Amino acid sequence: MPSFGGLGTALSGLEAQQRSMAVISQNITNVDTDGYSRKDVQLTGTGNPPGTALFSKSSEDGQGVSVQSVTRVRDQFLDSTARTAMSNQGAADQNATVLGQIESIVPEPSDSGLSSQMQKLWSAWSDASNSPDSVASRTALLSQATTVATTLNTASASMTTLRSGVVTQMSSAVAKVNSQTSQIAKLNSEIRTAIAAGVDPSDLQDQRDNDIDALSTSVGATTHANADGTVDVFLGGGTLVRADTSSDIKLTQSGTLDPPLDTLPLQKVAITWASGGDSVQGLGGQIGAMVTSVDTTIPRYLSQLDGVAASLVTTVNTLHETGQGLDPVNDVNLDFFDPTKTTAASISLSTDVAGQPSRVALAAAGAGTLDGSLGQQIAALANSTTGPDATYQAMVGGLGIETQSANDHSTVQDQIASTAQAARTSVSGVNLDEEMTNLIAAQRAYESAARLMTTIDSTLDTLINRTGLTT
Amino acid sequence: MLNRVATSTQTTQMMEHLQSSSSSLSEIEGQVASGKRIQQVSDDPTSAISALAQRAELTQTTQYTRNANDATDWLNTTDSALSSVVTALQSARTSLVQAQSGGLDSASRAAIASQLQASVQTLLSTANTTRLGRPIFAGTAGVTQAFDSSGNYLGDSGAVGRTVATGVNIGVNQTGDAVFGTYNASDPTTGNVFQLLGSLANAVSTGDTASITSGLSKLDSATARVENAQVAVGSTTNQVSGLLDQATTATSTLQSGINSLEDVDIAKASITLATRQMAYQAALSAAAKISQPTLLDFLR
Repeated sequence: MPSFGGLGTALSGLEAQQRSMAVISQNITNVDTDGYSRKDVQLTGTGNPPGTALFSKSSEDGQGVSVQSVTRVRDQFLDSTARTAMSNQGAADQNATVLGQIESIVPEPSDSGLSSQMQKLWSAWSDASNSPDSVASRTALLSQATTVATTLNTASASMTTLRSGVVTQMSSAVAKVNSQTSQIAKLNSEIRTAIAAGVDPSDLQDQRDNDIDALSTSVGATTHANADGTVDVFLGGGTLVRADTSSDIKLTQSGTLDPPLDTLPLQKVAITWASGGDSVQGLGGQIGAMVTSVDTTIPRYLSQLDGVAASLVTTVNTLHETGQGLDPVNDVNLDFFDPTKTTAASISLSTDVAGQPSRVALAAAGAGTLDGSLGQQIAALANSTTGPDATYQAMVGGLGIETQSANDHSTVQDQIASTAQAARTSVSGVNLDEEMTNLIAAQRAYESAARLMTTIDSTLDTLINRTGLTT
Repeated sequence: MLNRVATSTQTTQMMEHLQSSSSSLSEIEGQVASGKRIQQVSDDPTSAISALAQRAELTQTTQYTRNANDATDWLNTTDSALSSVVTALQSARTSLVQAQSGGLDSASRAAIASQLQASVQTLLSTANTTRLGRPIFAGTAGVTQAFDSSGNYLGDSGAVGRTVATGVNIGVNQTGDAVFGTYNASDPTTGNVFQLLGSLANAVSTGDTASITSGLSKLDSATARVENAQVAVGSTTNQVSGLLDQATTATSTLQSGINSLEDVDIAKASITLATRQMAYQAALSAAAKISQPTLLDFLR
């Protein structure tokens, strides 16, 4: 028995398929949007309502179809795996970049690098010792020593500049983290309101997820989803975002570095909570790697460079003080390098010999004026296994090995992060072919429902307008 | 293995593969263009560390070669000076034997005496031979002459050393008083060779045959002393020459060692370059093919 109920059923079909097509078009237009999670429409058949009122009767075969839910397809587990991978990737890439920059400050093997300059210095000592009467050789020696000192000064200054550059990068990264956490807090509050009001918060949730991804890369944050739709963000033991409030972090520079680097004139950089001032534990990601770079890695190499300079000053001066210049009375007990300046940044010729080539001690004390034996002893420092050359080669070798290992680590982390993100996108990303297929299905379902309505319309028409009439 | 591939993943992965292919291509291009396999230590730390040590050794060996050449020059100068001293002493001896034989009139004796005085001056000027403005027989004293005009020694007994190998410092000079004898102000006949010849010249002009005879044996000892010095110079020259050969060999060994560590094998690198270029082009064309068809192309 045809009834008006059938029209309602057909109408529900039309409405459901229209909603479906709306969702599909949203997915298709966002195929290239970063971080967009596709939406899935769940349709459900509408059955008879239970517990009807007395004397009412509804159709025995159901009342059509309705949209049960429009779900945002997102896997929390894949999200957290991807975020851990991104955090590790951020840290590894940052570390490799800084080490590469340190390596470019001391370029070896090279004909103009420090190793080559120091070797030329020992040669210059040998040449001067062969002809102590030659002012030209002595002058060339002083000039080469100045070149070595200047090379050390420049390398040290470059490393200090590199460190300051990373600190500047850090402060702008910290500012960005703070703005992202307050953004997430705001989104939390909006999403909670939207869910309570029954409004679809999917786009806000996607935005929040993108911000959390960026936080993971920056600081290695972890998350916890609450029942009311807000997400808490944690860093180490502390909270960056709890529901709609966020806590800022800040960069502080104070005190000295940890021993044994505390002799360097650098301040320790730390990331602390803005309220309370406790230092942030468990800091990962790019900012975590930056803290390690400025507090450990760069100072360590700066200190090793200082060690090379100190070794050069001490070994040469110790021998030089036992010798004599061309004036055996006045040119004794002189220093070649300034003994008060034993860091790479400050090493320079001593005022005893600077600009005064005849005062360079090539002769042993008490020997003849043109003796060259002391100069030859100093030249033999080139072979010393504990001298500045050996120290410098060990430093450069260690740096090369550490950099290569950091590069390899970074490559591996890049691949891991890439795989994790691909896994995440395979669940929540839009596939055009899939959407087009769904669109075709929805279109045909709509056409069928429309056709159904036409059919019921014609049966009603027959019933109403043609039954029992004689004309 | 992904069961479902989102459209954006296709693009992302294609970009990642192209990036990786392009970066390995630019790495090999850098190697071929610069000829160096190691641009910085991290490219190959073990080889680079070894190359650094070898470069240091090469600089030192080059310096040893330079020192050895300088030493050889000094020794050769000394040797030719000593040769002319020996020749002069021998011709003085001949004149003295002639005077000793007796039966010479005073005019001939005077001629021989003045010949001997002249040879003293020649000897003095040979003893004052300089090399690069420095007298070779003055030791390490800062003087312009080894002997003054009356035969006083102005130098000292210091050794002039040259470092010709690691830990090997060779003295290359002969000091004036060791070669020519010690100056004796009170008794010229027991003094150095200039004093001896001077006093022999007097003995010849006065006809003092006894002095001439004793003087001759002293002259022989003086000549022998110079000849010993020459032998010492000769053996030092040999020693330096041997070490110079070693240094030269070491230089070329080290240089080729460094090249083999640092330089790129051009043949191998060119092949790798061609292979990677091909791989890059294959990646590009695969990317082009994948991104073309979607379902949209096939629907009405």
